[in-house]
Amino acid sequence: MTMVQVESIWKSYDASPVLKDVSFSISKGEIVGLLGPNGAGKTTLLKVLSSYHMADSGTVLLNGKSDIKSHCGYLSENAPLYENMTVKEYLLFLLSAKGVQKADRENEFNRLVELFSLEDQKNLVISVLSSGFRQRCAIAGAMTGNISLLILDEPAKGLDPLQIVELRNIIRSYAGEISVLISSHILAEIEILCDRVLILDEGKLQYDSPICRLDSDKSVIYNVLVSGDKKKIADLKKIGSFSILSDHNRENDMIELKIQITADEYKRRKGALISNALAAKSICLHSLDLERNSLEDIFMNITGRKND
Amino acid sequence: MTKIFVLYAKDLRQLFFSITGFLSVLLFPILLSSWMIFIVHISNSKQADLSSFFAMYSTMIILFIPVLTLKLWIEDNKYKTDELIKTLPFSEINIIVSRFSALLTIFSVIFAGTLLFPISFYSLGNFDMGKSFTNLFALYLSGAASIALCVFISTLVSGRIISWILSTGALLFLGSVSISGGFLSFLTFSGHMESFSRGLFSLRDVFYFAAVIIFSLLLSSKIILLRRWR
Repeated sequence: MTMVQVESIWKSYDASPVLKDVSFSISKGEIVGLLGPNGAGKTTLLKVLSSYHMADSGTVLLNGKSDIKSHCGYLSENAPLYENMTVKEYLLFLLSAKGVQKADRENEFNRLVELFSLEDQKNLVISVLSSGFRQRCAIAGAMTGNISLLILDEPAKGLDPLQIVELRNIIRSYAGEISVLISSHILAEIEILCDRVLILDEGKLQYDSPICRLDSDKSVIYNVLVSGDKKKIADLKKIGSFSILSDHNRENDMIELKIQITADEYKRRKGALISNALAAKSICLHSLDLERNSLEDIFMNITGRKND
Repeated sequence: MTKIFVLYAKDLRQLFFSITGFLSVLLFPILLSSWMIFIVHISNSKQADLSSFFAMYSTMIILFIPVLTLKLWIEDNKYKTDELIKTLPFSEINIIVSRFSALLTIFSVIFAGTLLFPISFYSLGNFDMGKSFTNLFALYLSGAASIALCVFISTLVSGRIISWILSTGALLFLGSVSISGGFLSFLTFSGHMESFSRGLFSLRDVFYFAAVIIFSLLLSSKIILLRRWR
């Protein structure tokens, strides 16, 4: 079930386009990671989705409706907080603002305080909190009310590794009911937490793929350990359907090859293409391991291309 | 209405529990009473009316209202809480009306506190009650209109110092420049306080101040709305 539908968003600042024809959708329960280099338009996209900014053209629908504010929780990069309020006052203000009935506010507040381990801080003024607790308080604020979409811009900022794991678990526990869109510079965090990744570069959506399919979307690399006639092994380079990126002489006459095959070949025959080619040349195959194409590789591949 | 009240309560709390708000409530009457002591005891003006009190009041409005109004915007700017408010389910008019109401409440508290002075003077002699009442009413109206105008300038200009200069300049022009007759007189607050100062209750002037308030607040909400497209 599609929860968020983003159709052809265009946004310019002072006549220079920041978002160019961005379209995607997010299903209910999906956790989507938004990546991109600085200035790619990530924050602008999140601001448009949260209704802080209006798009020049295009539509954003949440549950099929254009009223986003009522059912969207948004944590901006700066984690805005009212410094002179206590944690309790702040969260109760947000609960009232989001239309939670007076009778339910206290229960909802207690649930959030427990979820984010803010029991000891609830009566403290926000200005005296450490950056980790401030961030937790801000995330708890974004999660108040009856939301369908949670937008988090750099949620792990200021959190220690333990708190990051806690946050990850909280987001996962929430994600069944709501959709989550997270922007982060920590690629590993996105890779662990998200079901899908969007890569934005120069205002354009360059990549949209589930994390589990990342390997097969671009080229695939195999680490292959072989032994045999060195001339025959060298002749493998002449085979056009794959390319040998590197070869390494190892002990016991073993040679380690890094072979890249296209995504299409991988989908059709997996590693059989390589093993068949080796068998045809009577080269002994000792191991054939898929080198996982990390999110970082993909990110660099997409966003670093122009810098080459 | 509930939404406006939620925001109003937050804004009011922000103002009351701030140094600016606290000092305004405290300093306004202190400065005003010091002025009255100066007039009565030192300058020995021998005036048996409250004209100097009302004149000082107008000056105090020009000094205090822009600072008080800017307080909320400065805080929003500093802690980026404007981003929070604008992504919560509040309309632009909710944001502006609640802010105006919070500022008006603070001004009303200050105003109520300063009423002690004219009341205390009545025991000293036979004051023109009607004239004093219309003068005070005009001051309250001009204070409310000044707040609305400063709210408008604060939403229009993002630079806080420029905003303060513009707000003070606008109030100085509208409140203290005395122009007799003509279009400029129609525009200024002072022009519309004349009948009140003579003890007359002019509905036309009440409408003028109401129009300034409504127009400023509507324009402010439109500016916030337009900023979302920026």
